[in-house]
Amino acid sequence: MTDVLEQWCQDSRGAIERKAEALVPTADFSDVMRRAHALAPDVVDAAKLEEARELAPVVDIRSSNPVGEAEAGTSDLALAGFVTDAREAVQRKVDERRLAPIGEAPTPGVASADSGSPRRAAGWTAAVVLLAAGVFAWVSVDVQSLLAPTPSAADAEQALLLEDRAGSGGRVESAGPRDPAPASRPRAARDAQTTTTTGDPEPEAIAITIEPEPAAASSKEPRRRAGPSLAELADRAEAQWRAKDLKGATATLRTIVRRGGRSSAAEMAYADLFTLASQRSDRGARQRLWRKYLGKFPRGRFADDARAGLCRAAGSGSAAACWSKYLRDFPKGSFRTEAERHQGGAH
Amino acid sequence: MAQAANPSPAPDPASTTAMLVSRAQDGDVGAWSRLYQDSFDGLFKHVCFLTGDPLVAEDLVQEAFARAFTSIQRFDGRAGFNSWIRGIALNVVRMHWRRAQTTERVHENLTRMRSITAQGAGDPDRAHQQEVRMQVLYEVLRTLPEHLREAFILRDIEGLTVGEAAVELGITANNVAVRASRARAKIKEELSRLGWLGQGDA
Repeated sequence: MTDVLEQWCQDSRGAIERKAEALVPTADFSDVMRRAHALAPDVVDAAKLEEARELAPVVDIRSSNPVGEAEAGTSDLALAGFVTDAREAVQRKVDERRLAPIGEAPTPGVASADSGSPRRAAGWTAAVVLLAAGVFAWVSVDVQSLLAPTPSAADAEQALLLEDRAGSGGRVESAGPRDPAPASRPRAARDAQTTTTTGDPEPEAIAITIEPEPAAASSKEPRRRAGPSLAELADRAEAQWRAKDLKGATATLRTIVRRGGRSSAAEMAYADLFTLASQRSDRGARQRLWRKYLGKFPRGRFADDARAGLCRAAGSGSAAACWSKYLRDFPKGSFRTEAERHQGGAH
Repeated sequence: MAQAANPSPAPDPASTTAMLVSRAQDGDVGAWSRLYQDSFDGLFKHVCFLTGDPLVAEDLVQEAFARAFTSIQRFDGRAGFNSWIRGIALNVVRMHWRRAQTTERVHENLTRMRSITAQGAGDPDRAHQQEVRMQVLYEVLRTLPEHLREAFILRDIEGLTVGEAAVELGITANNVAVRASRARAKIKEELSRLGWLGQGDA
């Protein structure tokens, strides 16, 4: 191609990419399903439509930061390999958890390549220390757990019993966290920029009460106890899930959350519990799980979704305040547009 | 310790997608949502290049996914899921093109743009210049036959290889090269006619 037209093409590509990055799509998966229902109601029937509505919102999240990317162009090259390794390790674990409730166990293969926007070293640099600390802490937990005796099946059953009791209205002073996970995890859930590394202030208490973890379970240092490692528990939960033993999988995942403290394993277990609650169409359980999750991971991978989910579930009297706090705590959140719509009526 | 030192490798993305598709074909809505989540970003960017307009692209991408989910039983796995849905998206874009402006309106737009740009000649704002050129180029593209337009966009704007573009369009690589070349000639001719290119550039 001649130079002059090539320049036009480069300019066009740059302009389109810039506009595409600036646009935050507002429609989500449930909107797609509504369209599909209109096209083929026999294929996408009302039940599927309802199921889609029950899922956590799935919206493309643009976590790229062109400014940050430019600044990171001169970032320390010595950290590059470390950042890459940490990123791949986290991505590997996230990919494993994504697949866990669906189909076969993970098969050997390379670390998952990015399926959309290219990862940018700048966005990961700020998260590298926390990622490494999380991975090392998780490894430490594994070592300690291997030295402990195996917990009895009664432990898991007890956790489930306590959870059911709590679900019926009573508060339970138990170390057992409730673990709902968003049925669908937005792309940002896989991006470390959405974890606690942001410069945003810690969110205040919101109108919908977030239940903090009891002190014993809120420690960042998982307790030593008898039983298999967190990884072994995760494998067990996966096997139970594949065998359609959802009750067993739920109990095992709750054990991971209870024992895992603020580890990535515990956070991922929450994610799976969100999914299970959605599959049961148990809105109440999911909301309780979101609150528990936010009490432990106020700026976690799924905090954006959990906060938005609670705002959507809020009554008409408190929704506006909830969304207002959401905007303050997540000014660049995935649900910013929806939150702003609620503010329009309040102002 | 061994597990920590040798963590299990991540699942192959292709096999992950294949499993999700299989579940989606079984009616698993959660699998559909994950396919959407995984594919949206790439497809959105692709359709942005095809249309030149992210707002239009957003709507067309939604349409493409909706059509894909209603016909997912027909996905036979010979091509990857992303290739399959890109094919659906291309058809959706083609339908959009056919509903869009007439050629006469396109020429009016181009003339109007030229007068606006002439007033702002010498504008040092590079982003603005890119924006104007993009708008002009896409208006010119609308004057081309679809088959030439598609080949040019995929090759020269989106930057696909000849082989990749051939797969997208379902034609031979040679055919892609010929169509893209003809498109370039027509585009340069139109830009020159409208005064956007100097005599030496044509």
